[in-house]
Amino acid sequence: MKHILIIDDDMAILEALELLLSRNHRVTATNRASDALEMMEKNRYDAVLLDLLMPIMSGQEFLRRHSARGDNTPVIVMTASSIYAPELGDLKFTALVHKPFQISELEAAIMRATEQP
Amino acid sequence: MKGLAQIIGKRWSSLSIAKKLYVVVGIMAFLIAGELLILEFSMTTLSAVRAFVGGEGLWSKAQKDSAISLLRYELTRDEQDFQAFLDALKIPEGDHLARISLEKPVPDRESARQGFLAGNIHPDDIDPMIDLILRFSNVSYLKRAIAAWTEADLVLSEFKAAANEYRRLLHEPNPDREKIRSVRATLSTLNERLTELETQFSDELGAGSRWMEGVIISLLFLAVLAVECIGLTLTFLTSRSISRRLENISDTAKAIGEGDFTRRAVADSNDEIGRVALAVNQMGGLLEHSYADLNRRVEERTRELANAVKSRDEFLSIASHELKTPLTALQLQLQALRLLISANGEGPAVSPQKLQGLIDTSEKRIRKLSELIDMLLDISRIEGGKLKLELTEVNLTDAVKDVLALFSEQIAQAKCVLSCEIDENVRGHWDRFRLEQVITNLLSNALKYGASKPIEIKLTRESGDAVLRVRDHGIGVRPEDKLRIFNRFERCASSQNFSGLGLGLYISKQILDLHGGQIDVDSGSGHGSTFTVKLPLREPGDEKGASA
Repeated sequence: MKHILIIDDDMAILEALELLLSRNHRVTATNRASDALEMMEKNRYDAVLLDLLMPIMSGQEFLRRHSARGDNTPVIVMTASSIYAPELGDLKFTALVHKPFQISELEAAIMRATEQP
Repeated sequence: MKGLAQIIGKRWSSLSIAKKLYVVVGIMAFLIAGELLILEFSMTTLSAVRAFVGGEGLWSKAQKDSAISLLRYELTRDEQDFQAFLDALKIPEGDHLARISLEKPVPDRESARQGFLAGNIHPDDIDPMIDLILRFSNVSYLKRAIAAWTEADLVLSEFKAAANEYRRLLHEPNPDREKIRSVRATLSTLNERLTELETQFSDELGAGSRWMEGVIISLLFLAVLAVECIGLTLTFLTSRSISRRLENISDTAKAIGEGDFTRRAVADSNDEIGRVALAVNQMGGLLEHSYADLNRRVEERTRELANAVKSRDEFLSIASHELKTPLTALQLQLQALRLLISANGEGPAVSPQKLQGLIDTSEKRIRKLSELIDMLLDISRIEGGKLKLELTEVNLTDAVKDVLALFSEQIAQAKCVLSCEIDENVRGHWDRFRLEQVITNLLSNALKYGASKPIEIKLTRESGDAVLRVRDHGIGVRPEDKLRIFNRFERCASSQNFSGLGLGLYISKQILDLHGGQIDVDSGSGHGSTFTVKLPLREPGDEKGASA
C-alpha cells in the first residue's frame, strides 16, 4: 500500500480522487501547495499528484521548491492544458496525465512512478 | 574670373531651352556677319587694287600719248600738237595732286578726289582707292609702288620742263642744233625712265595684289573655320547637356518605375528640363512616402492580425482548459459514484449524505460548465453586435442581495469577511439578468484575487447614478494594466495561479456600455482594488429622471 499525497485546489476533484484512490492506497489530500511542502518535511510519501493552476502557490512553484530540496519523491502532474502548455520549462517531474482522465490511467501512472528504483 | 564664370553659368542654367537655342544661333549669326564684313572689306580692297591698276594704265597711256604728241609737234610745229602734249599730261598731274593731298599730315580727301577725277578715274573707284592708300601705304608692296609713283611724278615734271625747253629751242630764230639734240636725248632718257617706273609700279601693285589675295583667303579661311568650330562646339555642348539631362531623368524615372523610390534626378537648372526633373523628383518623393506609409500600414495590420490570431489561439487553449477542469471533476465524481454503488454491501458502508454530497458537487460543476458556455455565447453575441438588453424596472438592491446569497457558501469557504453598506430600493430601468452577471463577476473576482482578506460592498445613489463599489485587499491591478483588463481575453494576474477565461470584465464593460453606464478600477499593485460601477438612474431620453 502506497502513501499518496494529492494537491489540487478544486475540492470536488480532491474529494473524488481521495475516494477513488483510497481503495488501494493510503491517501492524504490538500488544496494548498505550500501546506503540501510542509507535510512532506514531516512525512514520507510514495508519490505526489500535483495540479498546476492553483492560487497562492502554483504547481510550477511547488516543483521548483521540491527539486531544490533534493527530494526524490516521484511527482505526477495533472494538467488540463493541451495546446496552451503552461510553462513547465525544464522543471523535473515523473509523469504527466491530461485532464480529463480515467482513474485507471492515473492508477497506471502511480504504479509506474512508484516502481522506479 | 571664377566668379564671373559662375554668374554666367547660373544665368545660363536659368534660361529656357528655346532661349539657349536662340543664344547659340545668335552667336552663329554674329560670327557669320563678321565673316561677311571681312569679305566686303576684302572685295573693296581688291577692287581698289584693280582700280589702281586701271589708273596706272591711264597714267601710262597719257604719258605715252604726251610723248607721241611731242614727237608730232617736232615734225609739224603745230601748236595744237603741243597743246595735246600738255592735255595728255593733265592725267598724271591729277593723280599727282591726289597723292600729294593724301600724303599731307591731315589727308585732304576732297582735293584727292578732284585729282583722281582729273586722272580720269571712275568716280565709284575713287573712295576705295583713297581708303587703300590711307590704310595700306605702309605695307611694303604699296610703299614701293608709291615710291615708284613719286619718282615717276618727279621724272614727269622734268620731262615736262624738258619739253617746254625743247619747244622754246625750236622756236628760236637760230636753233642751236646741238642743244636741241641734247634736249631730245634727255627727253628720250626720261621717257625710258618713266617706262621703267611704270613697269615697277604695276609689278609692285601686282605683287601686292597677290599678297593681299593670299591674306584675304587666309582671313576668310580662318573666319569660316572659327564660325564652324564655335558653332559646332556650342551646338555639341548644348545638345550634349540637354541629352545628358534627359537621359538622367529617363534613368531616374525608369529606376523609380522599377521600385527604387529613393532615386532622384539632378535638378540644377530652371529651364524646362530642370522643371521636368523637379516634377519627377516630386513624384519619386510622393511614391517613396506612400510606399513607406503602405509598408508601415501593412506591417501594422499584419502585426495586429498575428496578435489577433495569437489571442484567439490562447483563448481557445484557455477555454478548453477551463472546460476540462469541471469535466475532470465530473468524470471523477461519476467514477466514484459508480464505485460506491457497485461496492454496495461489500466495501465500507456509504452514508446517504456522502452520496448526496457527491451529487451536489456534480451539479455545481454542471452549473459552472453551463456558465462558461453562456459566457462563450455572450462573447459571440457581443462580437456579432447581437447582445441586447431586456429593460425592466429593476431594484438593484434586491439584485445585489440575491447574488450575495448565492455566494454565501463560497465566501464562508474562503474564510473571507464581507462587509456591506447597501442603500434600500435603488431602482432603475435596466436589464436585471445582465446586471446580476456583472455583480457576480465582480464578486467572484474579489474572491479569486482577494487573498481571503475582507471584501467591502457598497451600493449608493450619487448625483443621478446608482453606484456599486466592490473593494478587495488582494493582489490589486498594476496602473499600466488598468485599461487592459477590460479588453477581451486579458488577465493581468499570472496564468499559473489563476484560472478563468479573461472575459468577465470585458463582458461586464459591454453590458454597462449598453446601459449608458461605466466601470472603472482604482488600485495599486498589492494594495487591493476597488471596482466602481455607475448606472444612470434615469432612463435614456427620460428628462424627468427615474425617481419622478
